[in-house]
Amino acid sequence: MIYLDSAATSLLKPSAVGYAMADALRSMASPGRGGHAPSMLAADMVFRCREKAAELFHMARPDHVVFTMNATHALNIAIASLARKGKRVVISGFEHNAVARPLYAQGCSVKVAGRKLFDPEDTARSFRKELTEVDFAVCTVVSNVFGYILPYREICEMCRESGVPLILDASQAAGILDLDFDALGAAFMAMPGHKGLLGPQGTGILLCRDRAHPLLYGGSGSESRLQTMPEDLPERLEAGTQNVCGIAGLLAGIDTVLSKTPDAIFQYEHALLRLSIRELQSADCERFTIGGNHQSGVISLRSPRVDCETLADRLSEHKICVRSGLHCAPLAHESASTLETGTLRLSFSPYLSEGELREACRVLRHILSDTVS
Amino acid sequence: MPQYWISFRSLTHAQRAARTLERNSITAIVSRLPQGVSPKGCGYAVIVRRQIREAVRLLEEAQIPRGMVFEKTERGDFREVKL
Repeated sequence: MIYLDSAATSLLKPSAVGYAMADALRSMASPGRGGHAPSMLAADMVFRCREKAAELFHMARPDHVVFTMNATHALNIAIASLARKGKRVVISGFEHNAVARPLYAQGCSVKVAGRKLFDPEDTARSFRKELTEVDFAVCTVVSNVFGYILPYREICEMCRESGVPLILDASQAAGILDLDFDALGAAFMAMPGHKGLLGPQGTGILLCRDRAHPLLYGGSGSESRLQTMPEDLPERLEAGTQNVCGIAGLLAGIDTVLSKTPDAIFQYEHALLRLSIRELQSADCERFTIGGNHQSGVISLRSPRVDCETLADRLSEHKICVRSGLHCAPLAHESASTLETGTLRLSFSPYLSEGELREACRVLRHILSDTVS
Repeated sequence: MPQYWISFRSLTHAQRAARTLERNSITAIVSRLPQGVSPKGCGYAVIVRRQIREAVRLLEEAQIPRGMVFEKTERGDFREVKL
């Protein structure tokens, strides 16, 4: 099997992740509930994971690292903290439904800035124009469909200068780009634990600059007589029993990312991207790529002769795993004029070899040439 | 040797505190607060046996919010310590 769907979830993970999860399952109870050894062991592990995440994202405050179920959960908390009916928000033209849907559900007035694919100057210029008339902003760091790396540093600076709170969606960037949360100055940064951080599904992280509004209300393990959620992070946003096994796996994943370093991971995946561009040069398909450093290890393509779902099925018959369709990001497809067709997406990981990618491209070229004949 | 319990309103604050103190060579153990000690129910504490004033100063310097400080007597009672 050749797995080219890491943008959905990182199937290929370090073995330490599984071992950590199995160990947690056997030995760790619920943190913040009992005072006994298994509970304190769990509590210590969870705190170490906060510390490692803070280290990875250059944060001084590990207590501002909040664990969530996934990036969608994290984004919903961030959006619920800033949005109200009628509030004006600017988003990029490449946002996922995990951003767009909660904004519309909250009744926000949404403006879209920067619709040109792989044009960071246009994206920045467009954001600057809208920032004077909005209450907050949301921006993805990397498009999940096209791998387009938006000019997030510039957008962060603009938002800081304008006093506009910004939510960064780092779903496709965490573990791949070196993101300095404290320096960027965003109000929130959301990410899944199971993509670039190499942890298990069922985990996510929300980095918070200041206090946020809870989305869930329930037990927090302390100040139990109070009938409100605690004022302080992270307990304010972490009602209920935590996914202890998941966080143990996430800790192992983050440890791996720290030891490899996001820069090295990006360089490796970018080399795979360049390889895929070369290998598909002669293929009968449209490739959405810029080739330079404004693209991560994600590439979308489409064929003029066969729809992307059929292409994905054909690849699956050869045990090559890709994703096709709209990728839960119709806005991105609107911006790139691929809404009617969708795209076939190949996405890479530090555990994908060059040989595997060459083989996948060979099979894809063969399938595409078959459709021509 | 006396045993001082620095109370915190959350587990994470207690953990941050323990980490800060350990980095400054003060042994600190996170524990649940005994019943009745925390006015809001279910609290956590960091136990230190020495350098309590230095410990409190370090926590203030690190801006880690804390609650009351108690000394556990030989009988097992907790009496508030004003520092």
